[in-house]
Amino acid sequence: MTRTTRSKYGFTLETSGKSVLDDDVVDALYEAGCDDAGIGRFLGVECLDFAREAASYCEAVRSAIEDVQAVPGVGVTRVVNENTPADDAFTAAVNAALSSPAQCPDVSGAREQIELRRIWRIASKMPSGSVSG
Amino acid sequence: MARDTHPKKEVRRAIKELRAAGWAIDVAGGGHTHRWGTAICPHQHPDGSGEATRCVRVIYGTPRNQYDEADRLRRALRKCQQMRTRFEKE
Repeated sequence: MTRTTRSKYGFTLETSGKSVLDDDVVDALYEAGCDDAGIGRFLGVECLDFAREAASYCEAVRSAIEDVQAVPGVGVTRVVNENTPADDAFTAAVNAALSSPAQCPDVSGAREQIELRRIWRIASKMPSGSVSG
Repeated sequence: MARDTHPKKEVRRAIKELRAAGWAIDVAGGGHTHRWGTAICPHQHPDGSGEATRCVRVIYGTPRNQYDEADRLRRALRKCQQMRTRFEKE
């Protein structure tokens, strides 16, 4: 039997649309699975600060974006990597997909490419300029 | 346990540190399912657009992991302090 090692990954998702500080949205985010995130606002930018357990950084980011997107009216605009520099390339690719969903960007690594495609599919279904549920 | 005391020990410690740094802790009233309260920093940070904003952080009543939640609160405190230091240098 193959065991998958799971680790905890730290990153921040910046959001737009409905305020994540609203009580209804706080509850909806928690119910959607974001009970491993801190919700806040810094320098006018609202964000969710995650400590998410997953098999990889790219899986953690993808699942977090899916959970936030499950809340109607809330969109993810950017990912900020607080993990290791090794994850910077994937983070940059995700941000490119979120800001310009016309074409899926490339990233090295089969697993990373799969997760990026899933994120890009979410982004490309949304109205241009934002990724919202 | 009194309503204005967070149910998780580690989170209580982090809240104590926020209070010591001057953050206001606004405990939510009844009717909110998951928000225990809100932490608001004492500083007005210029956000580059001519506005000044305070750092705000929601505190869950039942976080998935109290140690992670406490770490995130402390990270919010450090982030605020870094912004403050950067502003004072400019």
